[in-house]
Amino acid sequence: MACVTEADEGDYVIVHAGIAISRIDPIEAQRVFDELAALGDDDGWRGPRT
Amino acid sequence: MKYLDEYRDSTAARTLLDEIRRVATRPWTLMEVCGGQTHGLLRHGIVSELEGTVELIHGPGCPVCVTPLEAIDLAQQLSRRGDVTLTSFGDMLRVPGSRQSLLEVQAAGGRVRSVYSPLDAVELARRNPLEQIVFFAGGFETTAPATALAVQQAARDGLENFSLLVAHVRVQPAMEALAAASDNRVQGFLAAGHVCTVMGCESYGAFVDRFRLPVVVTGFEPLDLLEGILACVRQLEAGQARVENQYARSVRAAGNRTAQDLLREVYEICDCRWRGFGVIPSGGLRLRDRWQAFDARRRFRDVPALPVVEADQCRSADVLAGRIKPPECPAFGAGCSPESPLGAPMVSSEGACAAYHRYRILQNG
Repeated sequence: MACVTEADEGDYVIVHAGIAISRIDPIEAQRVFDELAALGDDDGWRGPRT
Repeated sequence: MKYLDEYRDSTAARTLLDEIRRVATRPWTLMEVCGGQTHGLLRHGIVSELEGTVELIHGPGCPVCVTPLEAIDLAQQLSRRGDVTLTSFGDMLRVPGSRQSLLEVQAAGGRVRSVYSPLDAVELARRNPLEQIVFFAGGFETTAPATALAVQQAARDGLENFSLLVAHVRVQPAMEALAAASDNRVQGFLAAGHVCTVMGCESYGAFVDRFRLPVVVTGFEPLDLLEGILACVRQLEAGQARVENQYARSVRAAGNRTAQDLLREVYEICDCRWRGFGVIPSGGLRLRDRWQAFDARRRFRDVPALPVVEADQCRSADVLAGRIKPPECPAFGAGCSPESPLGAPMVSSEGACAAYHRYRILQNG
């Protein structure tokens, strides 16, 4: 985690070659589904499916 | 898994495909830079779905594919010395050199080990103080922070039996070389999401200004790829050329500053030979002077270089430069397969030939 010191327990990170290179931003992760909903025939995605 | 499954939703993918077809008033030619994207595009059938609307030229973002043969040959020479254990990622071990792959050298008694991370190679050096552990460090700016950390760790631990055979490459100079080529057909780029995670996307501003080609930083899942393509097509249809960030859940504009500082601390930029491209100005990284003690080329400078021999039926150079698609190579599927590859793109989980071989067969079967 040397390069992603801001990550907290419960966060998702991207790991490459054995080190974390980024923390997933949950707000940005949602954006694609908002845009899909705006395109019309998709209900959009609200939060993780379980 | 969270942040993966939802980006593979087929209804959403259909919506995006329809939108791309609706927006495009003419065929466009885009390049996905990263081999991980190439595999995603083929695996999920996006290349064939968009036939006639968007042609995708597969970019050079497969690090083992562009690693020059002389580096692979040197790694093999080192592994035959007897006092060296050569370590690298699994893909790198399978790439054919002038004569053999590292795996074949291993089968013939050479000392070769596959590791998951360069930090594992440092651990190996700690546990085997009488052996020289060399990590063959290929990869883009995504991988280089991990190898920089490994060198720092080895220095902190005072390990004199660890070194790096550095073959790191930088993506943006290669994109510049492609865009500047007189026969360039690429009208827009899907930039490599994980390289940009480290390096950010601000530096593409100058690229866009110079070449007037859209650059959309793009992720790897089907919806990421389709969104990236849609954003690129929208720009082209509107006559625009801007930097856009489709992969913002991972990529910040300035990138990962900690990783960049680490890179700058350990490496400096150098001109670099890319397999299939020749020398790319500022296209590679080398260890800075203060880390030279960890440079395997220096430590083992007595190892003689053997003449480099390219496989003559293999057209991987043309595949890497986007001049041909893998099935146009006469050796594709006829003498060259992932099980017995002639060239690096047929080996790697990021190589274009391997992607076509794997997913074409799936689709046809």
